[in-house]
Amino acid sequence: MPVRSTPVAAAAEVPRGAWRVMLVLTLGAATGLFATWSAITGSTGFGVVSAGPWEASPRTGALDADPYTRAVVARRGLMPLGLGEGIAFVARRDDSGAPLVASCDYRVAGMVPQARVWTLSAQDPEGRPLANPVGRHGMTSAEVVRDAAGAVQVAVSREARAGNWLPLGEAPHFALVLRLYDTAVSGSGSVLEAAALPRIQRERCG
Amino acid sequence: MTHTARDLAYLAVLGLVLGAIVHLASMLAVPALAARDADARLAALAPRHVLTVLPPPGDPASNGLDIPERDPAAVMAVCRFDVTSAPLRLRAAASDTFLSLAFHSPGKGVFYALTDRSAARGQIDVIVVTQRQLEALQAGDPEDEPVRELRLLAPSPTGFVSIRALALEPGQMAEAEATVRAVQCGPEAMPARPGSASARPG
Repeated sequence: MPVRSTPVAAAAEVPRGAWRVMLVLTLGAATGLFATWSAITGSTGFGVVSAGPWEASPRTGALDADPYTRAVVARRGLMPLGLGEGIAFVARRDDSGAPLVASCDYRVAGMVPQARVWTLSAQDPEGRPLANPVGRHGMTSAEVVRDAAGAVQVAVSREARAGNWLPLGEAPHFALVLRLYDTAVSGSGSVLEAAALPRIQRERCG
Repeated sequence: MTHTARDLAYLAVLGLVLGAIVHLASMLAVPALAARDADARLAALAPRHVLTVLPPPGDPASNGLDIPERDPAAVMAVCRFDVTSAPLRLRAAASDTFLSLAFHSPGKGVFYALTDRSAARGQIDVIVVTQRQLEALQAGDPEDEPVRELRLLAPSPTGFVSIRALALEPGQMAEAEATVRAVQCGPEAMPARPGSASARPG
């Protein structure tokens, strides 16, 4: 006979009858709903294509999006770009992995993938444009000044800069969005080459 | 392992299995339960079958019902539709301004998207239909002529079309808005179908 703890001691510790059912139901409801809540309040987790700090969810623009992506789109009231229109890359962190904060200056530098038109803009964590005194919230491929090799350098800061300048606002945190319109970048793989998108480097912090 | 620990572990596993089921079921229910999805937000300002230009992103007039994650360079309009009784016809002319259309089915996603680059001879001509309407259209097609319009089968009878025009420089906002406003959208009268109309009582 295997050695067991005495029945009396076990009866004192293990819930019985209805309590066992209650315990299982409570645990199930709590973990299940918590998992759902964290999945839909986070960014679109599944089907994310990343390239360095940039992330895109190309399937948000198609009918075959996974349930997680659909749930995030519905809850946040998003109107995503369709796959046939273009693709949006969002960066919430710089190249080193640190969150983007508006008290620092950043430099977005490098090549932008082939697209008929692209725009680079800054938004607050809720996806609204950053309120700033200049009233400018983004720049486009038509406005940007390129170097001889075709690379772009954009200064992202609260203070005005010469050259390509994307103003930040009072909101402490922000995200950068690079939208490519009419592009061959489909994001059908899971990883784009990081070099295909511009780097985001932190400079001075105030 | 004592009997007590094993018993508790068993209950915990049961609870976690139930948790996984609850999670999957609630995830699938979110799109149907989301009361503030894009279509619900648009319903407050855009009647069906009317092209409605959206206020700029972050505009206080939208009462917190604006659509997040919008491109500040884009002027956007929507045309909400319900193709239950008639198809939706959408026409746009290609110009120098970037123009794109995306056809959304609430809770399901974007079922088609195109830009002005796919315009045929400078025109975009789209009709959104149900399966029955598509069959009726095909029955009336002339046999010796190719179909010039793009026919889209709506995954659900209701939805909306988002229309974007880009202002590539700040001075082009008015031009982009004019491009968006020039898009025509509205219900399309179906050609009379012999048999089906007369068979209807009343």
